[in-house]
Amino acid sequence: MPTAIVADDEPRLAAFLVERLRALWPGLLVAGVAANGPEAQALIAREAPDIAFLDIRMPGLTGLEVARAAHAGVHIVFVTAHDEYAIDAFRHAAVDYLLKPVDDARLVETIARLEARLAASAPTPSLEGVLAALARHVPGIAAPPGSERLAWIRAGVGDDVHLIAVTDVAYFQANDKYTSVFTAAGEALIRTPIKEIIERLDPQKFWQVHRATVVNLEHVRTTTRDLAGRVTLALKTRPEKVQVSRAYAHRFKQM
Amino acid sequence: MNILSGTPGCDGDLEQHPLLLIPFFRRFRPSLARDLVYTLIWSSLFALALTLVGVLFSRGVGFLELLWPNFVFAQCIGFLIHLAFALGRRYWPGIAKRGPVARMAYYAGVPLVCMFIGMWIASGLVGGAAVRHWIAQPRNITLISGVSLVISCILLLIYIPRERAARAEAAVALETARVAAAERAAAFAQMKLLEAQVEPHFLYNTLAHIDSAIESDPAAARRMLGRLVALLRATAASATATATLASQVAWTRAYLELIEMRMGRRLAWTIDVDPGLDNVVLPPAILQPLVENAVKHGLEPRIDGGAIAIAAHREGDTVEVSVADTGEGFRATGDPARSTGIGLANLRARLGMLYGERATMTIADNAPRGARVALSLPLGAGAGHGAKRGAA
Repeated sequence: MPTAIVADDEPRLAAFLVERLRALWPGLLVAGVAANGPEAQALIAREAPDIAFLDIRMPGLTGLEVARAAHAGVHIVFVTAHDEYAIDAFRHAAVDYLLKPVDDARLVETIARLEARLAASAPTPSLEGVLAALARHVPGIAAPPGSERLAWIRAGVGDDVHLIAVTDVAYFQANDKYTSVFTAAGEALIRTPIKEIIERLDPQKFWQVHRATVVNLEHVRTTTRDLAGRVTLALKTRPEKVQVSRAYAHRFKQM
Repeated sequence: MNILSGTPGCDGDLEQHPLLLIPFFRRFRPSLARDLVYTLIWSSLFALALTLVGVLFSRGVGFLELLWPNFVFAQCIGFLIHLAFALGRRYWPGIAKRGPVARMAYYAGVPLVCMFIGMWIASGLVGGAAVRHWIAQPRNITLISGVSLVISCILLLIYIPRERAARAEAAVALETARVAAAERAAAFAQMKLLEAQVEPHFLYNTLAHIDSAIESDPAAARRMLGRLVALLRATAASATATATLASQVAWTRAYLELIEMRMGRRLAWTIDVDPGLDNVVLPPAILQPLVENAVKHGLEPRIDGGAIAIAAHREGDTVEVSVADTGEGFRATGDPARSTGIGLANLRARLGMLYGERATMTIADNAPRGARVALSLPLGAGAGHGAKRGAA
């Protein structure tokens, strides 16, 4: 007798899917229902089901993360209300998925496919390609480890901590052990030394132009080279100009 | 503009005073007085030149002796040409639109005629019959005509390329402006389209809930359906250019009531709006992305959910609007995931476009956790104008 687990953070929807499965696949035993990602992971480990119906958007861990961590013997069926990129990726990788509201006709098709695979002891389709493709597009999926680029800067303003999007920063400037952060809206001071900031910035978008200055290329309006070979940058979002020291001027040569 | 002064000189305008070719003379404000003075100067220069030529070619004639009559002649001719062109501008403005041959004939012919008339008038003042006799000789007529035509040709050779260049520049500028306007219009239309949509994932999820409850709990299904309808109506209302704060708050309420039916105890919410602010006009869909963000990226990912607080207060002549949640805060690294399709950056850009520096948007950490987005918008004329521009 095949076993399955259902995971959905909305209990009413999980119960509904269980009820439809009971009606359309009486031979299936539903071994448990999980209400979030970690619960789903634990449930799969404990019950070792043949099939796992996973909602994609769940708190804690997403359905995709749970799928990635699950062992190879589980047939995964993703359940989603709407997710353009995911649906495209699923279709290409012949991965099973269901759309909410769950339509009986489609559920019957999916059941037939699963029964056939189980009967033939076919291996579960590989999810690697799908998961990698989705990690790029679908928000909320854990980025592959190691690509931890700085996206938000926390700067103290009075009693509050303000968040500045790194894309809004025109340039960083070292200020003793601290760093000044310049945006269109003003200037903020953060306690991280500039060396640490540089390590975590996207090197394609942020160039060091001086021992003490790192500039966001997307905020540069023009580069000017004077007769002495000194390069100056005019910015789109700040009135002041940024000097490029000789050591770094070569990067602007081809412009 | 007085008919006796030229049309505002742009480079290459053939009606422009020749002196304006010299940058120094462009410094002064266009006026009748200025143009008359310029004619005086221009004619004097001619007089000077002719006198010099005369002195060089006929010895024995004193410089000053020759200068006075030349001065009188030059001034008569000069002012006559000035008058003639002024009358032409007033009574024959169509000449500017005729073909190149007609215009060249006009600009060469008028000075020629004026030359003779001017000389005839001047000889009445200075020199008398002897001069008239001299002029009347065919050889001299040819000479005078030749000189006039040569001068006209030189001026035309200078003006025509400048006019062509100016027209080309104007055409390019017009085209660039048109393209920019079209791009802006397209971007705006796209934004309005996005603003008027209900986020699809949310919509299908809600429909799935209604679907699942129809047989097992019909009363609940009807309640949810009712709230969804309320949300759809509120979405349409708050996406118009004259959306009031009240309509956006109504949307927020409808949205949170639906989310509450799904998240149950995982969601707590409060709305705190100054009663007097109901009719404040806001740009469309200001609250919508902030509230959606807070729920989708702040509260839903947390297993125990959290609370969302929406507030709007008046402080002097600004409206302070804030949306705070106690869910997932912003992570320093990774994809700036806390943004809807429209996005925080987009909202900031829209506010910048509508209010410039008079509006601010601040993102900060909330306590004990989560995020708080605060907007400060100018009240009164600013908000109204912003909405009007939005309707265009």
